[in-house]
Amino acid sequence: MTMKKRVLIWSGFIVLLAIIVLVMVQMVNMDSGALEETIQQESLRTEIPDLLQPRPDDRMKGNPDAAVVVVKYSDFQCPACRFYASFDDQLSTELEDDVLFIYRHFPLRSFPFARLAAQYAEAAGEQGKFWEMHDLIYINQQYWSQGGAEDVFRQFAEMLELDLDQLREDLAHPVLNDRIQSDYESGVELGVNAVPTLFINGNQVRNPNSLDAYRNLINSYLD
Amino acid sequence: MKKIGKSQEETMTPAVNRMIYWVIAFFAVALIGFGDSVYLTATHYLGIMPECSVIQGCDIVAMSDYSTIGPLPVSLFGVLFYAFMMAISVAWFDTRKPVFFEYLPFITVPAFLFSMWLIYVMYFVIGALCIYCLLSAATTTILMLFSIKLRSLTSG
Repeated sequence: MTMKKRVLIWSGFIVLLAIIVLVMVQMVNMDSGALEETIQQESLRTEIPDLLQPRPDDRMKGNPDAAVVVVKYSDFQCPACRFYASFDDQLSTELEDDVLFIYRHFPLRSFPFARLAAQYAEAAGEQGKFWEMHDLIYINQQYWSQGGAEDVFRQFAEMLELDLDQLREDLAHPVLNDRIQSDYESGVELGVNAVPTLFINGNQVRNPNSLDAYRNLINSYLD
Repeated sequence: MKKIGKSQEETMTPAVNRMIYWVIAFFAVALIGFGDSVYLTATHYLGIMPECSVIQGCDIVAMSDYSTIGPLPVSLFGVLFYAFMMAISVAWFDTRKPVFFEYLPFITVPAFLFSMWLIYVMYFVIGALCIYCLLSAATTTILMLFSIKLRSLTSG
């Protein structure tokens, strides 16, 4: 084989690899590319539909009078939800005066411990520690998802120094399940069929694919 | 160098003829695997968040602890493995030296075993299946079988 041919073969090979890499990266970008084009109808809080208005029994974080309301339908066992939980945590610290974050339960049937986790979070909420329990459940998601979830949740309750007798009582109380169920049903009514589903000022938005994209999305409602 | 190459080509002719299709097939399979792992690696680095839908499971596998080795995604090792397999094929086209295939099973068999372990983890530990990972396991298996065939052709 001549030197020229050899150079041709190897450079052709390198070019082929480069093309494949570019095509694949492009494909991945296209999967998420539409995100940037999320159409936002600028809407004020007053225009938010009733179902997405903050309710007194909602679990919320941030300024109740904020100009931007983010309602999130989420599931404690869904891995994607874990990421958004950390995003919300970060953004609620950064933008605490400007945004109200609302957490609504949408436990999927495909996750065996999702509803149990929601129950424990709500029961902790009865003692004023919903967000603390929420954080512990999400941070340790990969651990308790593998089994023995209830024991783990009970340990969290102990760590948060909850009144365990009260907790047991609240867990058995039908009101707690009704609250989770009413969150779920409101989600169904809004057409939620995947978690997490985010609504910003009443508009369903495509899930931002990074913390920066999420921050920009919220900021676009603040401008 | 040119001269040595030519003389080898001449002596290898019958084997070369038999091998050429196997090498092309080997290259093609590695190409599929390469594209697949590049896609998975790209999703890792571009931070795509799959959602969990009511009907379909979310990408539990790609988000699990098992999807990375230290800071690197497992799929990146796949990218390197498939690129190397393709490079071996190109090197053979370039030089026609059988040596490239003689030791190939020493790489492809461990790669196959690693792939099987990943499937085991995916199915039994994480309890979910990811189609891109299954495709990669399939290409690794085929490459392993082809590499054994290629080795027997070079020694036979």
